[in-house]
Amino acid sequence: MIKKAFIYIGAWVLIWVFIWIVFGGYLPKHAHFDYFGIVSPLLLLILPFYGSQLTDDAYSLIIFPGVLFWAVTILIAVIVKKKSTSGASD
Amino acid sequence: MKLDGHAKLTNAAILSFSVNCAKATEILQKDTMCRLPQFSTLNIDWKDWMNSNEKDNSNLAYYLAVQEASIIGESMHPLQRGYLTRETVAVDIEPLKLPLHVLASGQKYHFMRDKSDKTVKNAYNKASAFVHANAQRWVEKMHYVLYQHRPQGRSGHSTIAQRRDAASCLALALHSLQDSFSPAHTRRASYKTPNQPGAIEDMYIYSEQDHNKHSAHDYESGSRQSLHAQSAVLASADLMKLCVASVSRKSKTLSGWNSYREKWIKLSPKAA
Repeated sequence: MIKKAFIYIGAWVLIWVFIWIVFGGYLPKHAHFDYFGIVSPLLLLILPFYGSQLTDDAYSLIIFPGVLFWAVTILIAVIVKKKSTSGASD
Repeated sequence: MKLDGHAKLTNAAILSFSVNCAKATEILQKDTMCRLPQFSTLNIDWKDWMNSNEKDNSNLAYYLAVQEASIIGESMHPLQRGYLTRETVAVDIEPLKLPLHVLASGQKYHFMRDKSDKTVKNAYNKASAFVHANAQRWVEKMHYVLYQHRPQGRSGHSTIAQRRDAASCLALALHSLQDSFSPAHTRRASYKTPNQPGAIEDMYIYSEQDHNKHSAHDYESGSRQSLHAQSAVLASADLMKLCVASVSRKSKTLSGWNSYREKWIKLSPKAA
């Protein structure tokens, strides 16, 4: 089950990177760093440690994309777990 | 300013500094200070080494991502060529510094203003103090490396870590200083000579700007033909000279800062 989850999540990470590289022009980006969205999931995790007030851009650049990434990742893990549990009970 | 803009301006500043530093050897006493490995240029395959452009910006982002990934492995090696330039650019891209773009406390790293800054003067004080503090740290760290460090043991303790820290501090100061010349970051009084830049009349709030226009201005100010870029190069070279001159006098404090600030990042009385 864990192996399967890793494969699906790995595929999701590749899709995530692909989306930001190909459609980067249409997605929120910072003028100083075009690929901000790709690393937003990681930045979302370290952001609380900075303890400073957020600017308005934090939502479109880090929080919304980061939350979306982790929500899909968790969803994949939950679906894989449910499938494996139902498969075992059958 | 774009990644490649910072790199090209820092490279140009290092070259300008090296020439002037060598000429001023008598004043600075130790010409070895002029040839510190930190003051070497970062040479990658530029499409156009004079002007900031999309291709060079993307190539440099990729180059830095690879370099950042190997940063743990290089910690005990001597400073690589172009380390100061790389660190100056890395302020925009280094994973731990990336969140500073969206934090109120991070705006000074890019000579910008946050919404919470009630006045331009308030934002200016934070940004100029930031440039000063980091240049001062370079002086303190290099003073330790050159005059206070006593090698112990057979091979002695390396000063690589201190030299690396020093370069990183100067890079923070240079990055913010160079951004202060970008019309996307500040508005300066109009001027015609790069050596006499206009005073800062306004500092912009990123979230209230048109981001595409900001990007276009950043390309312009990173191109050596522009007046702003020429000023940024001269100001960067002058800051390097100021730091080196302080250390060569065996001083632990950055001397001449007030006149430097008055010349390069003066706040206009018009600023609200």
